[in-house]
Amino acid sequence: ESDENFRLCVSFADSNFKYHRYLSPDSHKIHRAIDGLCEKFEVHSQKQKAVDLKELTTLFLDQTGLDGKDTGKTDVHYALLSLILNLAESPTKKDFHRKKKDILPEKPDDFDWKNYLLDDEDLNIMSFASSDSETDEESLPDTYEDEDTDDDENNRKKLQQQLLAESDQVAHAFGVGDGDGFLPARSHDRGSDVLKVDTTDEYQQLAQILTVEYWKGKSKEEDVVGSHAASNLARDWKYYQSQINEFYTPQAGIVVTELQVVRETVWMLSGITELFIFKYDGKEFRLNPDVYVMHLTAESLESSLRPLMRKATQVCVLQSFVTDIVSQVCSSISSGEAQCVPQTYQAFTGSVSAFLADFKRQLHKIEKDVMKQERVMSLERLMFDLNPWLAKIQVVHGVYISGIASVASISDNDCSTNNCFRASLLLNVLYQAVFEADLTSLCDQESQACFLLQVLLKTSEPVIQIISDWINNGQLRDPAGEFIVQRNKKILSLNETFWEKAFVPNMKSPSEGLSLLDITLQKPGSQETLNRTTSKTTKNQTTHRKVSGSSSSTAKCDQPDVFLKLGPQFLQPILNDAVLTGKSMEMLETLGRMAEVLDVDCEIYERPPSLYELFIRDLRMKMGFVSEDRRPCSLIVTPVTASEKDTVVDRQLNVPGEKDTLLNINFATIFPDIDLKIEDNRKCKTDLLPELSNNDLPDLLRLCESCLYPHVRSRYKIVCSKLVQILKSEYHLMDCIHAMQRYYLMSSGEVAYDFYTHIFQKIMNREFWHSGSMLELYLHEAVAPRFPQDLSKLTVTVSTDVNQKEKRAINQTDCIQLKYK
Amino acid sequence: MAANPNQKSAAASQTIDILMEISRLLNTGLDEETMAICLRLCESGVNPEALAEVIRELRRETANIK
Repeated sequence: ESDENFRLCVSFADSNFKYHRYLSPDSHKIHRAIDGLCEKFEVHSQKQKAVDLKELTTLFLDQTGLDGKDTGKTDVHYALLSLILNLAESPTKKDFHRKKKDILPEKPDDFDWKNYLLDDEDLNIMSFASSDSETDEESLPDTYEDEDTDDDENNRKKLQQQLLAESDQVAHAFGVGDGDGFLPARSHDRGSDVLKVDTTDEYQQLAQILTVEYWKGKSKEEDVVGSHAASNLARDWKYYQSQINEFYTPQAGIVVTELQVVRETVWMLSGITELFIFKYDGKEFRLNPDVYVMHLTAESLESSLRPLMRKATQVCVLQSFVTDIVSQVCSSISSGEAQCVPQTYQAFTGSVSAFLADFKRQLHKIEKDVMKQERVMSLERLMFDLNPWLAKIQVVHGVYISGIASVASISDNDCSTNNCFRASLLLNVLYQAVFEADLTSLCDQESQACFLLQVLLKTSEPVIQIISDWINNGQLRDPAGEFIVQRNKKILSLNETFWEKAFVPNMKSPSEGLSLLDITLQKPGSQETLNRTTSKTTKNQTTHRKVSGSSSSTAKCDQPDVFLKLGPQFLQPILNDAVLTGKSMEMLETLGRMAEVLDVDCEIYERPPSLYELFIRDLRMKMGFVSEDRRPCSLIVTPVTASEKDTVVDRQLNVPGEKDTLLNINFATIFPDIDLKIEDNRKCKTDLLPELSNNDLPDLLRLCESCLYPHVRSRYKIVCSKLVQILKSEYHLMDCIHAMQRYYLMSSGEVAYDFYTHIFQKIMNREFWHSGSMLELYLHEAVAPRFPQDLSKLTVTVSTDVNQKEKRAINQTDCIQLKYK
Repeated sequence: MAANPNQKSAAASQTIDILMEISRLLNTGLDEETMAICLRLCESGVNPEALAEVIRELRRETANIK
C-alpha cells in the first residue's frame, strides 16, 4: 500500500467512481444487448453458446440474495450484467463449454428406522395377544432371534465389505496384486467371511504412513485437522470471511501439512524447480496460490516463506552461473579457441560450487531428519538451522550481482581486454565485501568475514599465480588476458625501448570505450610527472626520482600512476614492484643470467614454492594453525630401512631381462638411503584454506597484506638489485650515465662549447657545414683533451629527415645526431 | 421463512458460479476473487460502466509496466 503506483490507482479509481458521466444500467437495454449477443452467436454458428447465455442470464436474474433482497432482477443484477457485457472481449472467438454439474449419488440411508421407531418395545406382547398357541410363544423368540442374527449377519457382512474395499484401496495404492505374495491370500468372494481382521490392521497401518498424493489434490482437510484450537486457524479464518462476506471465495483448495511444506522447501533450496507448493517462473519462486495449511492463513504462510523463496531464487541464479561458466570453459577447450573466460571467474565459480555442494549436503541431512520424523520439524526450526547458510548465500549472491552480473551485458569483440576489467572488478567487489564483513565481525555470529576471505583467497589465486610465475620464472603466462599488464610483442627484449614499451596496461574500461594506452597516445607532448623506481646495489635501498616527462607519448605507457588506478585494489601497493621485477627477470633472461636469481633454497628435485603457497603458509602461521615448516608440502621425505630398499630394488632388478649391475650401482649412488613420496600438491593447497575459521582475528585484510607483500618486495629487491649489479659491472652502466650527463645534458660545457663554436661560425659565415666527417673532426677535437676514453664511443651524423621548412635559426642544428655506443 | 445462513451461503455460492460461467462465456478475463469484489462494489452503488472503465485502464497500465 505504500507503493506510489498503488496510491495512484486508488485515486484514479476513486475519481472515476465518484465523478463519471455514465447512466445507471437500464434493464431493457441490457436485455436487448443480451438478445443481440445471442443473435450474434447464432450468426457465427455458435448456437449452443446462445442457448447457454440465455439460460445462464435467466438463471442469474432469478437468483435471490443480492442487494439484501429476497427477489431476483434487482438493480445489482443488471449492474453486474452490464459490467460483464462491457468487459466482454471477442466472445465469438473463445471456446466455451459449460461445466457439467457433478451429480452426487445420495447416500443410502442405512439408519435403522425399525429399531428407532419401535423404541425397544417388547413385540412379544403384541404377538402374544394375537395367538394362544404355546408353540407360537416358543417360536417367536426364535424368530426374533433369527431376525437378530440376520441383522448381525448383515452388519458383519457390511463391515467385511467395507474392510475389503479399504484393503483394495491400499493394495491399489501400493500397486501390488494378490499374486505378488505381498498380501495375504483371500477369497475373491465378497460375501465370504474368510477375511481375517489382523490383515486389515496391517493395511490401515500402511495406509497411515503412506504419503498422501497432495499434488494430485487427494489430501483431505479431515486428515490434517489438529486437536489444538490454534491448529485450525485457516478454517476458522475462512469461516469468518464467509460470514462477513457471503460472496467470499477461498482461492486455495489443496491442504498440505507443514511437514510437506518443509520438505518441498528443502527441495526448493537445493535448486529443484519442478515443485508443487512452489512455482518457478524462470525468475523467482512463488507460492502456489491453490495450497494452504490448516494452522496459518494464506497471507501469513506467504510472508513466512518469502525469505526462503528469495534465497532459493538466489541459489538458482548461482547454480545457473556455475553451469554457464563450466559450459563456456568446456566449449572453448573442445573448440580449441582462446580462453575467453577469465581464470579469476573460474576460481570464483569453483568456490561458489564448493559452497553450494556443502549447502546441499546440509540440506540432505535436514531432509533425512524430516524423513525419520524423530524430532519435530517446522518451518521455524528449518529457518533456524539454515540461518548461517542463508546469510552466506545472500553475501555470495550480492558479490555475483555486483561483480559479475553488472558487467555481463558487455559485448566486446576483444574479450582479452575485457577480461582484465572483469577480473579486477570481481576481486575489488570481493575485497570490499571482506572489508565490510570484517568491520562487523564483532557481531558476526556466522563468521561471514572468514568465509568471504576464503572465497577471496581462492578467487585471487590465478592472479597471484600469474604474478608468481612472472617474478619467479620470468614468464608472464596470462592465457585469458586478465592480468593488468600485457606484453607488447612488437618490442623485443634487446630493443632500446624495451623498458618503456615492452609491458603496457591491459585495462579497457567499457564505459570509456578506449584503452588507457589509446588515451595516452592521443596526448603527445603533455608535461606529466613520472615516478620511476630504481634500486641501488650497495645498500639495497630504493630511491624515487622524479624525472620530467619527455615529449614522447610512448613513455607514458610506463606510468606507475596508471597501474595504481588499474587492477585489483589489494594488489595495487605491490603492482609497481611486480612489474619492475618482471621486466628485470626478462632482461636477465635475455642477458643469460636468470639462473642467478632463481630460487635456490629448495633441493634440485623440489619445485620451489609459488608466491601463493608462501602467502597461504604465512597466513596460516600468523593465524596460529601450523608450526613453521618451510618444506613445501609437495614433498615428504621418509627414511627407509636397508632391508626394505633391497627388497624393492632386488625385486625390480631380478626381473628377467632387466638385471643390470651398473644400474644398481648408479641407483644406490643417487638415492642412498631415502625413499621419496610425492604427494598431491593440489590436496595440500585445498586443505589449507578450510581451516580459516577463526573469528577472533581483527583486520583480516591487513593480515593478508602483511603475508603477501613482503614476498613480492623481497623478490623485487633480489632481482632488481641483481640486474643493476650486472649492468653496472659488466655493461658499465655508470659510465653510460655519466656520458649521458656530459654530452646530452651538457654538464661538461667546455666540450659543447668547443664543438658548437666551429659550427656556429660556419653558420654565421653562411658556409657549408652539413658534412658528417667535418662534424666528426670537430667532435674529436672537443672531446679528446678531456675525455679520451669516450672518443671511440661517440659518433655524430647529419640527419636529412628534419623538416627543411623551419626557418628559425635555433632549429638549424636539429639535424645533428649524437650517438653514444 | 428467513433463510438460514447455510442456505444463504449456498445461494451466494451458486450466484457466483453462474456469474463466473457468464463471465467465461463472454471472455471477460475476471477471476473469482475479482468477480466477488466487483459484486460488492456494484452492491455498494458503483456504476458498472465506470467500474469497467477502471478495470480496463488498470489492465492496460499493468501490461505497459510488464
